[in-house]
Formats: sequence, C-alpha cells, structure tokens
Amino acid sequence: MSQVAIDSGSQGEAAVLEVEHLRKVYKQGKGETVAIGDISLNVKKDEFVSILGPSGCGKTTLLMCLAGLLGPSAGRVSIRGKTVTSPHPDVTLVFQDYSRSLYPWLSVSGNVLFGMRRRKYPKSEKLARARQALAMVNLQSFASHYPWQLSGGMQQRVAIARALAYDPEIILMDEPFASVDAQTRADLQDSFLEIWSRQKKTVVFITHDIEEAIYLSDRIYVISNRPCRVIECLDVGLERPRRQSVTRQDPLFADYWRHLFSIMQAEQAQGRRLEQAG
Amino acid sequence: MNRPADLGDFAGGVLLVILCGLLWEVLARAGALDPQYFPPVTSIFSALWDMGLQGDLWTSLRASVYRMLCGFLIAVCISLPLGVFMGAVPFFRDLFGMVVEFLRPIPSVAIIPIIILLVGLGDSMNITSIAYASTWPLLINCIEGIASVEVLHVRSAQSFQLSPARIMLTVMLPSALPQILSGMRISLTMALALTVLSEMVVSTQGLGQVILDAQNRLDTPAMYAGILVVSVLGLLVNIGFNWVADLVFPWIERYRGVEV
Repeated sequence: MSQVAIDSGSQGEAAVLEVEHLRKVYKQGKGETVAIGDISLNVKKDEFVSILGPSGCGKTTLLMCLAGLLGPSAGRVSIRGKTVTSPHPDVTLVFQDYSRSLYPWLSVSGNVLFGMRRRKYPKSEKLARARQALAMVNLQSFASHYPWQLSGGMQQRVAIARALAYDPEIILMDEPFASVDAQTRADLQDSFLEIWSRQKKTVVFITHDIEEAIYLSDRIYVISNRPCRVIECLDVGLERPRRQSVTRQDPLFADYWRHLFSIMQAEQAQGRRLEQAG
Repeated sequence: MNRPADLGDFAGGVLLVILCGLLWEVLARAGALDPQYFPPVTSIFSALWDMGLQGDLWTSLRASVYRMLCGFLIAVCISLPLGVFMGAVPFFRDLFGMVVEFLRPIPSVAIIPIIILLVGLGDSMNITSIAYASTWPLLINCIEGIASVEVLHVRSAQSFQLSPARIMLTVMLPSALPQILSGMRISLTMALALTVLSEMVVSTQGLGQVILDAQNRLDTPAMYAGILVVSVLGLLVNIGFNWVADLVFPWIERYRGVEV
C-alpha cells in the first residue's frame, strides 16, 4: 500500500502548480535535517487539493517552498511551467496562526487593503474589493474593528478575506482551521467551500485532519513522516456542493476515511518504530 | 485606556503625595526630624519661591532642559537607525552585539573624564555624556523590537510582493514601535539623570549645579528645592512624551492593552 502511482492528477488538463522531486534540507551547524525527502505532486486549475500528513512532518516547509518563500535544496516548483524562485504574484497564503499573520496595528479593512498594496487598481476599486471580500466572509460590519477585538474564527475569516481581495490564482492554506473550536471549524469549512465554488480558485490545503481533507478536497495527497514523501494520492468522488450533515453520512466518505486512516496509522506506527530504533 | 479611571488614579496619587508632604511638615515642625537634614516642606517651598524671584532658577532650568534635549536628540539620531539596522541584519547584530554588551555596563559617570579629555569642559561635555548614556536603552530596545518581529508578519508581506524596504516601513517598524517608544521613554529618564549628574561634576549653571551649590552652602531648603524642580521636570517630560506618543500613534496603547 506504500507506493501508489502518484501521477493520477496529471491526466487531462495541464497542471497549474507542479512539484517535481522537491527536497529540502536544513543545515544546523555540522548536521542537517531532511525536512522534505522527495515530493512530486501537481494541482490543476480550480482544483481543491489537500496535503494530509502527521503533525511535524514538514508540511509547512512544503507550503513555504510552494509559495516561493523558501528555496528547495533540490527539485523544482513551477507555476504554469515557470520555475518559482521568489514569492509569486499569483499565489498567497493563509496561515494557521491568524493572530501572528494579521497586523494588529491595522484595522480589519486596513489588513485587507494591505494585501492589495502592490496591485495596480485605483484606490476606489481597492476599497470596493475590500468591502466585497469582507462581505464574502460576513464581516462587513466589522471593517473598522481591530483584529484583536475579534474572536479566533472571525480573525481567520479576515485572513481569508485578505487573501480573496488580493485575488490570486492559487491560495495556499496551512492548517487554517486548526486553531478554532469544532463548530466554528465546520462553519469556516462550509463558508470557504461556498466562496471557492463561486470564485474559482486553485487551493492547496494543508491539514492533519482526515475528515477535513475528505470533506473539502477534490484530491488528497498523503505524505509520510519526516523526511516527507508522498505515500498516497486519492481522488475524492463525493459530489458537490457538499454539506456537513449529508456528505459526512455518505458511505463513500466512510470508505475514504477507513482507507486513509489505515494508511496514516501504519505511517504513525512506523514513525514510532523509527523513533525507538533511533 | 479608560479616561475617567485614569483621572481617578491621578487624583489618588496627588492626594498621597500631599499627605506625605503634610506628614513631613508636621514631623519637622514637631522636632522629630532634624531640620539640618529634613527642613519643613514649607521652608523648601519658600526657598523655591526666592530662587524663582531671583531668576537664577530659570537660567539653570533653561540650561538643563537644553542640554537634556540636545543629548537625547543626538542619542535618538544614533541609536534609532543603528538599532533598526542591527535588528534587521543578524550578521551585524552578532558582530556589534559584543561591542554593545561591553560598553553598555560602564557607568556613564566613569567615562566623563574621557569626554572631558575629548571635548573639553562646557556644554559639549554635558551634552556628550547625556547622549552617551541615553543611547543604550533606545539602542537595545530598537534591536530587540526589530529582531522579534513575527516571522509570519514578514512572510505575509513577502507573499503580497512587498519589497524589503517596504516591508521595513510598513511591517517591521510599526510592529517594533511600542518597544521603540518604551526604549525612548527610558532614554529620556537616563538623559535627565545624566544632565543633573554631569552638571554636578562640571558646570557653572544648571539644576545639578543649583543642588550642589546649595548643599555646599548648607542651605538644605534650597537643595531640596532644586531636587523638587528636577523631579517635577522628570514628571513633566514623561507626561509630555506619553502625550505626544498617544497623539501620533493612538493605536499603540490600545493594542498593547490586549495581549496579542
């Protein structure tokens, strides 16, 4: 079950985002840590792809490489065929830690406008876009509040609005719903799926939550413990639009869950064995 | 944060000071305190009144404030750019860090002789020692403030295509500003301390000289009057600084109020 063909997504349309044999090594003094062993994956236009892996397996490093914020040690990341070497104008990120990515000295609308600083729209259009983005996440009446006056879920919606107003082609999300309570998480999942279906964005979504990955994605890449590599690629055939109460009851959902759970469990057991051996 | 409560606290504080003064007055008048060391508060005020009438006090005050502000401004001009630069570039932070850690603990009084050798006596000596002493708190706070900017704040800005210079101006400086301002506040206090101290070492005028003179003449009420002027000056400088900071950066107090 370990080596599954990992090119199932490349048939048909060309990929927008492609990762080929990506490897990332951190040097620490004389030693080195291999964060990413060998990762190849691709994401098609408007696709919702999740990267599912155990905590601390180097998923964030992978996302930084995809965003062009970290350079790979080997291999390459490309967007529409062009190698990514610096932060790409068509890509933006939403981090797990909203309180550390939103700017506390800017108001909610100030934060959303900040994302558009380098966009060449006239001022009036920027304001209109900010208003529109805040309306999409249902925060239009909180525009003049400061982020730290809002709840965690609301702050994450501000971060999402900031990403939407920037209007990138690709949104990279690093466990964006992991720091909020279960009910808020379900709400955020639904409102984000709704926006995604209307806005047509390509999304790469990092998570360690199997159910979240199945519920949201068109396709799931499962990655291993450090040094991480792809161990499974699963197409999710659940129909859209998805709804918490219906989709999660789908027998197919349960099948996917069992399949992914057994892979993750085997991976974790192996990780423990390696830890004990090392 | 809350104005009425602030006012209440302020009134309470003033009341406590007045009560302490009254207690002092009563004890001194009753003979419980030796008037040679602790003259009655009223005699301190009357000494202050006389000094104010003679006009010496005002020339001294003006000289001291001038030196303090000059020294402080020089310190800001040196430590703000240097601190931001060192905070932003780890290589230079490590390189100059040792130098800073070596120079900083030297009591500023100890280097006054060197300063006298270099710039001679007179205003420039006072101003140089004030500038030297008040450079450190601001420098350290600038370095810390810039170096501890959230990585995600910077990463977000990078992903929005901002240039490093823009990131410095729009992300790193605002993020470090609360710490930079508290560094400035400490530097101002330092500047006042060094003003008085350097004037006691060498000067013909200034508040330090007023205090030292009175002490030499065994005029204790005048000595206390000088000390009182220094402490009121320090209080006013602090209030004025906070007032300006509040006016220019109204968001700071608010966002510092909640732990972010």
